Amino acid sequence: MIIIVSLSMAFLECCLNNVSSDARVALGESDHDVRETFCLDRCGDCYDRSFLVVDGELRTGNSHMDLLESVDDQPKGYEE
Amino acid sequence: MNVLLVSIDSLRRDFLGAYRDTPDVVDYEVKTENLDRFAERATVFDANYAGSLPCMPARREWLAGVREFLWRSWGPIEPFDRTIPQLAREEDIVTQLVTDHYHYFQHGARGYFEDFNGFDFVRGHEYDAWKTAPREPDSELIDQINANSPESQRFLNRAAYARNVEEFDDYSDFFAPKVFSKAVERIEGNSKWDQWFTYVDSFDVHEPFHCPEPYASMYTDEDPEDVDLPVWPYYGRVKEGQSELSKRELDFVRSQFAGKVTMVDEQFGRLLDKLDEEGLWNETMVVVTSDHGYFLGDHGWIGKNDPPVYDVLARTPLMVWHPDSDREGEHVDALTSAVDLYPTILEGLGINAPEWTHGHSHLPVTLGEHDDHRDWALYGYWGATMNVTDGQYTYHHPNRGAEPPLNHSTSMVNPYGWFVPPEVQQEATAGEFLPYTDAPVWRYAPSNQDGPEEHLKVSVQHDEPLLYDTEMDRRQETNIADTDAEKQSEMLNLLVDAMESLEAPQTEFDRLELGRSA
Repeated sequence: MIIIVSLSMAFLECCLNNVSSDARVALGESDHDVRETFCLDRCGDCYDRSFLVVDGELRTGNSHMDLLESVDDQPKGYEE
Repeated sequence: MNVLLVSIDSLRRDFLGAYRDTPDVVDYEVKTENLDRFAERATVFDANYAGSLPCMPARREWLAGVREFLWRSWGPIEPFDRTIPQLAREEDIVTQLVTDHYHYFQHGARGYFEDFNGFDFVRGHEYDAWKTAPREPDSELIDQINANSPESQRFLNRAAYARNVEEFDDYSDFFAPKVFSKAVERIEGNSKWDQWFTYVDSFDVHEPFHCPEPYASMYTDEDPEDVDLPVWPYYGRVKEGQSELSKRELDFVRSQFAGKVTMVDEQFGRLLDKLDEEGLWNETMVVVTSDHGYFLGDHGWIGKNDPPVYDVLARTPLMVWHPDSDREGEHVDALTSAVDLYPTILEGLGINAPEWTHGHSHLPVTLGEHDDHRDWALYGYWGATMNVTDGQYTYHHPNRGAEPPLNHSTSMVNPYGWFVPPEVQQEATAGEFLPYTDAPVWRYAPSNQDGPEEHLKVSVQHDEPLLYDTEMDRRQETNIADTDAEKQSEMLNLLVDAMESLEAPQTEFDRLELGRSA
């Protein structure tokens, strides 16, 4: 059973070095609260792949678009 | 004349008794009796500002005299730089570096330690790629340093710190005690040479704020090993995201920062004792400073880099002892800048500074020959906001994102990703782009800033102009940019004048949407 306990938007943090120009626009146009920073101190992941910090938790993936979709599928408060 | 330069990383000046009785963010006094002891004999500069931020850019200012952030991000010493130890060698002056600052030995920086006749590197601080065992380090410390993936082999894994300190037993195993022990030894050895320059570069009080006893319990009643209490917070806002801290957590972080300050102070006192013991004060100029401060909840931030470049970060401690100075213990309000240390130290050593340096020696202030020094100081991070002060007002101009910043270097570095392997800059062009050298360099934008103009906007630090009167509003809590248009215009003109006098590239004016002076 899946219970969605909250549908509030997520708090997303991304690194300036990790997002492409297109990803920056997509993140900006999303319904989520987005912060772009100089460095989130996730340099190893930043070097290797796309990542977001979603409500304080690291999520990695092949692209920010994929990550955004995963956030929409599993919003804050997601429980399984 | 010998020169001893001591830099204490991330040292907020309000934690020093010489600058303030009680730090701004705590309600207790922090013991700094040795730095205060030094201040009683030194010229204490009340308006010293950082230049290029953060760590390594500051060191290029000090050691090579280049105000780099207008042209370049964090990077190596360039082939056209003339570092202090290079110039000192030509005068048969012995040079020595003692440090635990591992950034010298990491991706993103090279050429900083190689010019010294000798260097000591105390291993293990922060992310230093040193030990690979034990595979499963102390789980309590893993929690306290927020090491999320101890098994990961990716770059900059926080678990590296836990492995590095796994066998530490008491305070003498920690970094500042080791650095200053080695420094005392080197001072004694170098005193046998005719002339020397010794640079003690302490990475403490930089995070992790992992303190040994008695310092860990000196300013808190908490259990310093409580796994719920962080010693290595993420940078960012204290009320949101991965950097969020409760009041209890923030209070604890502050206490551990304070503990580190006192630990470093006690170790610094050993250097003073050694100068006493060897009778070196009459033949040694001593400079104590820091590269930048550290937000401890000030303005709602922890760490550095993303907040506006407030004085808590940029207005740094500077104290200078020179045996020919009559300004013992005197506070001076002359405006000085990090890059000025380069010609100041060279003058102390009796070496003429190269004409192209961006610094101006402030030794005449210490010697009582001048009271004033600079009309402006320019400071900031490459590609971000542009900040200027006249010593009273600070003006902070936002990055408009109209153009990508351009990095200028003989190396292809990652302008935003300093600590990982460099990337090939396919779009780089080469040419004589720098006003202070005819050496050709690469010029390139960050590789992820290749989109149309509207895609470039980066909102780090701040979006709107900020203006503060630091005499009326020392902690910069009231932005007067909207209420004092005349002063804002005056400071904007000063900013443009400063950039023009340094011959900043046109792309800097463009990205900041700044016009040239009339």
